Amino acid sequence: MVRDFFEDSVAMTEKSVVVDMSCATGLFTRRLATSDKYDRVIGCDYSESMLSEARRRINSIESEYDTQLDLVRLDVAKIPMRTSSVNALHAGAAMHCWPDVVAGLSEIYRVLIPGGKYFGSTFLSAYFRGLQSAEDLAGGTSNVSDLAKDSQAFQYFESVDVLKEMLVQAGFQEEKLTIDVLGSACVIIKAEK
Amino acid sequence: MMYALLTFSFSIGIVAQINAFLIPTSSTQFQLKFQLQSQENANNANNANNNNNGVTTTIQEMKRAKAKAELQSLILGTVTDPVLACPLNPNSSLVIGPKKSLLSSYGGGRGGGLTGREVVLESMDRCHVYRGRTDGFYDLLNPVTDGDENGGDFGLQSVWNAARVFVPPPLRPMLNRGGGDGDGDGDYVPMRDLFTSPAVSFAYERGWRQGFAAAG
Repeated sequence: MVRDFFEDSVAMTEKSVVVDMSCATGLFTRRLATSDKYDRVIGCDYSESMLSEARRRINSIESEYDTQLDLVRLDVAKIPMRTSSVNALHAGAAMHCWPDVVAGLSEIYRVLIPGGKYFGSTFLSAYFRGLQSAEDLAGGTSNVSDLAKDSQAFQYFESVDVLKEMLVQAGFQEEKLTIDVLGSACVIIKAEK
Repeated sequence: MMYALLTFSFSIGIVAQINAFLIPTSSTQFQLKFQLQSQENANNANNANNNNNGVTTTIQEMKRAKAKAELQSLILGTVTDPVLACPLNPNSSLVIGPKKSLLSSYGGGRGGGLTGREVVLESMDRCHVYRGRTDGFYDLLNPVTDGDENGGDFGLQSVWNAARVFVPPPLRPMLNRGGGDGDGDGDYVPMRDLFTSPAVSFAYERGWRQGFAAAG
């Protein structure tokens, strides 16, 4: 689905660059690279240990691919990339972990080429409430969700409209973005610069 | 004025030649070094003229930086990255080069480019330096400062941070005061610290895969 969505934007330049933002252990980074459809894939994360783990997993890939694959540690609110240098950017289950979502999205908008694509997946707050109630039913107190609630570790997206507003605030045009809800609370965002 | 300028350029050219002779290099390197110096002289002359005309030299400077980077890449094995830039100045590309040895050569391995060594990434405006490994990752979160030239957070601090995630959150501020970070990073940020723990990194993808499997 991601690769199909990126197809037009990667054909726009001679050398295609695709970024996997908040790649964690690089599940999607590896899939993007081994598809061999792009000249360069850059996996990015804030966490050193996630990047080290991603590298370990990249090193154990057995199939051959020609894509240049780099890993970069960064802050999404200050992406170390040139303006209009990236064809497409993927952020899988990541946006709810960013401390400042609008700042991150603004930076993504900046680094994309005109016509570049953004594919993001995240969850609505209903998903987290689901986690909470499941744990309440189990009779235990949840360490993670309690902490999350108290200290705003996760960003809570109450509705699709809230997400849309953030994307527009970051520079994306409303008519060039679609937000779909899969299941109860999984959100897929597709936007074009 | 022109005469003075020519004399000046000529004298720098001579110095470059002498330097080149003093440093034992191969004939190609000598030639490149001389070219680099000549290029700078030519640009200096252009800049001087532009200043006289009151024309801004920004474009000239950019061209000069580009020419210099190209020549340096031939001599030192550096690469100007077309995408990566300084996070503090995204207009300034990063020049990636070997950390210590100038004798290291490119590995033509998987993924192309540099392989398996420590590199420095310097912003083209020369304001900031970052470090990374071509067989690891480029750390573009914070520039390298004089204090942590020798590996810094890859040492004891990282072990400490890794252990910290197992300490119950209410106790953490206390531990921090007792000899923790000292860099103002002592605040506990639940998800960040969770995701930056090596143990969690190892287990994370399994959760992802199971999640997908469960979701069909």
